[in-house]
Amino acid sequence: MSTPISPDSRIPAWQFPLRLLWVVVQLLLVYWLGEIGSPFFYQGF
Amino acid sequence: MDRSLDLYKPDFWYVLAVGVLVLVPIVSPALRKWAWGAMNVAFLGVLFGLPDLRRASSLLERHAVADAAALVANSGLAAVCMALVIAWITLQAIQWRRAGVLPLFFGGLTVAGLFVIHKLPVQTLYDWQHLREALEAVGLSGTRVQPLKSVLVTISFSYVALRMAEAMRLVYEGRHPAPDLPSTINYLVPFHMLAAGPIQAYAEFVAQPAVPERLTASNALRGVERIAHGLFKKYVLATIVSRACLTGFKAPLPFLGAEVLFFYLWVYLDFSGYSDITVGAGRLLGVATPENFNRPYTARNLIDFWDRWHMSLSRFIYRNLFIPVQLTLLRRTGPQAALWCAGVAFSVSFLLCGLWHELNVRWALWGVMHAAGLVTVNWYRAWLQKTLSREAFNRYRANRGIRVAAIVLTQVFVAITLWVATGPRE
Repeated sequence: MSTPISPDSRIPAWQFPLRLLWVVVQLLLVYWLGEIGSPFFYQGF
Repeated sequence: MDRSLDLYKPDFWYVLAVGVLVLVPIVSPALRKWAWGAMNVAFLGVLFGLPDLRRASSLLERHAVADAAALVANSGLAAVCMALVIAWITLQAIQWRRAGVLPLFFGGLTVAGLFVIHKLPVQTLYDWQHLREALEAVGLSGTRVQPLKSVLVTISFSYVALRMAEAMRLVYEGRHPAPDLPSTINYLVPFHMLAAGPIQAYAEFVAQPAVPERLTASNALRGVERIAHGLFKKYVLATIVSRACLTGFKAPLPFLGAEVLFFYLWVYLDFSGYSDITVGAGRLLGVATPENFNRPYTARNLIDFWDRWHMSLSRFIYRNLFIPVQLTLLRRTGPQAALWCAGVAFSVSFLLCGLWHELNVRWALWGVMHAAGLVTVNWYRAWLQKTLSREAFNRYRANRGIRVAAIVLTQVFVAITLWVATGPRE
């Protein structure tokens, strides 16, 4: 099933900054801890 | 030239950002289609062409126009662009009824031939005398096969081949019209699905709206969340599992079983992380992108597992192999042999699915093991339905102990098959 492109329900305003913060935290963890540079397993097929 | 798609390098993210900025405001269907096609070709240019273009530019500065033209003509980008035009012409020819089955035959043969070149090492290709003669007959000497292989690896041809095969079949059967040139490019080589799929169904590609709904702040956040989640899975969680639990299957026997399970977990985190990134990118770009995973670790049997793991591949197999084989057999045998027909269809489908991964005995064995597991599940389910009343069958399905045992058994089986296929070669 494809990702629905039509807009889903609106994210409540109070959730928006919290979810954005979690995105930033994940990206920082990727930057600091991630083993950047390894190809994807299924890329080889 | 031998570059695979590098999500950890900035190129991909620059093109994604430009794609969002360019595509989102476009509301004209025709313009959007061409803009998306140009974006995909531009990304191929990033993958293949920039070093060549820089060298061509320096040749032009020295007025060596012929050398510069020859350099560009021989580049990987030129080869892929030419192949895309040939793919488009082939699909148009398949639609042209007067040509009969010939375009489909030659198109299928070309895709299969390129697939074999993509999968087999050059040395193996040239160890087989008949294959060597066939390659030389179409002008592919040893020195030409290696660059061709490198182009095929860069665009992950396994996935492109399946998309092309499905488009050829549906156009031949008259279910969908042949795509125009930009749609051919956009279906076969969408840049955010280039590394490892997903394999989009041609019917889904055709059915998506020419211009998606406007990107709202909520949807943009959902797209960014999927990308961040995918990056986190791949580069943090999978890395932790890899460093803490994987030894390349060199662990002593008591721990080898645990490593087999952790390797399966690592593959899940790695591949579902990639899929999250593509789905998130697709959401931002307004391009329908298939989901590949739906909590496969909760699957209670192999049939359920293949509804949840690498779904775009399992659905491709279902549409293009399982159903045609099963229907052909059912027409000959009648419904009384339905279980046998399904068994043969599972066997053919998963043997080919194994060989799609790699053309070797280990992946063939992986396919045989999955086919055997699927046939067993199918027979067992039919036996339960025959011997138990409806209420007893529902009680059986709802029993928590049976459910947990079935999930554990399924996950262990999948992990073992993965180890069989990818374990140490020595």
